[in-house]
Amino acid sequence: MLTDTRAPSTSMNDFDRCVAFLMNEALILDRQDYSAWLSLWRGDGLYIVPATRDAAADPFNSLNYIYDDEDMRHRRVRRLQSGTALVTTPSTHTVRSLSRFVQLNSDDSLYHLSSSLLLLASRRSVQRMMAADVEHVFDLAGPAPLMVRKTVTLINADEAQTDISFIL
Amino acid sequence: MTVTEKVLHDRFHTSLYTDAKIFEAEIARIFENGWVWVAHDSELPGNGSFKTTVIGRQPVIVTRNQAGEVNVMLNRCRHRAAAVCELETGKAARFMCPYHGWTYGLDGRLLAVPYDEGYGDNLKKEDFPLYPVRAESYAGLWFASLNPDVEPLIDFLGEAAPWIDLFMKQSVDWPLEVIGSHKFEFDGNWKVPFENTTDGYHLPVVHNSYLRFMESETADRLGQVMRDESIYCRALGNGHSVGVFDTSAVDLSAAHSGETPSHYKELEAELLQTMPPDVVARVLRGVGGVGFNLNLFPNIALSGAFFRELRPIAVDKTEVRHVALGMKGGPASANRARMRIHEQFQGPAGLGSSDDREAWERVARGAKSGRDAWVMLNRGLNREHLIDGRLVSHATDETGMRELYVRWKKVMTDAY
Repeated sequence: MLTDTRAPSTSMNDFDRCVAFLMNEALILDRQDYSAWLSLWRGDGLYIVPATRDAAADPFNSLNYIYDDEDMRHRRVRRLQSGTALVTTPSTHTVRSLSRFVQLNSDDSLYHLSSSLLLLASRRSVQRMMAADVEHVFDLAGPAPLMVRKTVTLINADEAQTDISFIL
Repeated sequence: MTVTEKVLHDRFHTSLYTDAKIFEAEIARIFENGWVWVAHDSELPGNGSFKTTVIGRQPVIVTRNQAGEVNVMLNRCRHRAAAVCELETGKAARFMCPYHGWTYGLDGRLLAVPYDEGYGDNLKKEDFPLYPVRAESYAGLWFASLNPDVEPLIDFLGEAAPWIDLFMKQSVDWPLEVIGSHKFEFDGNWKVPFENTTDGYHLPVVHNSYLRFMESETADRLGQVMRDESIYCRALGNGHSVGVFDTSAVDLSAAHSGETPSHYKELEAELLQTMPPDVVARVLRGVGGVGFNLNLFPNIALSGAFFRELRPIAVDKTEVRHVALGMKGGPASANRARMRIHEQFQGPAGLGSSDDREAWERVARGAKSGRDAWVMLNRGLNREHLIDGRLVSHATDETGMRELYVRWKKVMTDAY
């Protein structure tokens, strides 16, 4: 359920903070500064890319392309940075554009922000476009927002992919 | 150069990866004239359920009709050829063609034709069912053939059948169930991933980064392959072969004294809350799958804990599906563990498959050079030997690939 963003919002500061966070995260990922990305998470956070659009409703009990807890995120990043993974020779360059930021209602104390992601990936003279609905869930209790969950639902999640070797 | 000249006992000509004419002949002779896997029983969970798939590149529908029987039919209306079903899976009472409304039952019978006064006696409905396709099953695996005179499935599976039975033991006392699928394409020929399924030699190289950064039963298993003298690859006839990478996990119902791996301790504790220890032990034995990859010619492998399905699209494009498996009605925590294990290695974002995919594309790119070059298949010829009439060698040898090309040559001879 969406908040009517035309109404005056008492949490506009939170909204601005979270949008700024997303923009910063996008910059970090396009620069492949994966160590910095790891520090944006709360320890129990989950990075999820569902394997079907329906799976986004219950990724815990569904098969996903990615279901990374903190341990798996670190392993994924160490592998990407190792220089020994075939998919990183050459690595994929990305530029992403974020938009359509909308706060989602929730019954927890966390901040839920929906956005759209358009991403251009370039590797070995082939460019491809990916598009996704993204939901970030933030813990705003500390001095900086921390990601508790990031779910990236590709619009073609149900279809055959090529590779998703970088971080969405 | 004829087919016979292009495939020798220890090598084949690069054009088998790159020649579109050869690919078209493969579609006609291998995929449309023999058996191909189309579905698992669990994908047709009740009467009225269906799955759409392909035989070669021809769209088909697999249904379980109201009598509970499985039917395979071409997915084209008998009128003007429109596909009558576009969903990948679902439940339906009938299929109505979206173009002019011809309506078919789940068994393919033509039930209704709108405004049929326009046909008079020219159209007898019983003469226009959806084109039926021959289908047979073994151990829950459904295969279909566009060749009505194809040999019985059990004869085609032959010595692979007992290995299928062994694979199915991983779901313990519950039926095996498809619980999701990772689909990905790569720019390359379908035979490359087929070969890869029994290729133990690539594991420590392609999956070096996985082995270094993961701690799991899979990583342990893969890391041992070059040193383990007990593991083997065995040709099974008809293009089938099996690569055994962990001899202690061939028969999961056999007595086993191994310790529970540390990464299963949490799952073990959870299962013990509701299940007796002997059942928990069997569930844990099955969670990581069996210790072998069974390659069934031409399009399905029963690979450790999952199915690998190959869908040829063009000579240089293939879709691969890594189908995750669970226990239908079994413990949810163990099924979740199976999903999490699958996610770590498999699929387009998995820390293993993504490197396989890259290696296969490198093969396709490299094969564009050396017009008259050969692809070698000779690893293990020095130590291969006959056991019970079949060739066996080390699991890092190319015995399974040679079996593929023996079959390939037999089916493709005189194709062009």
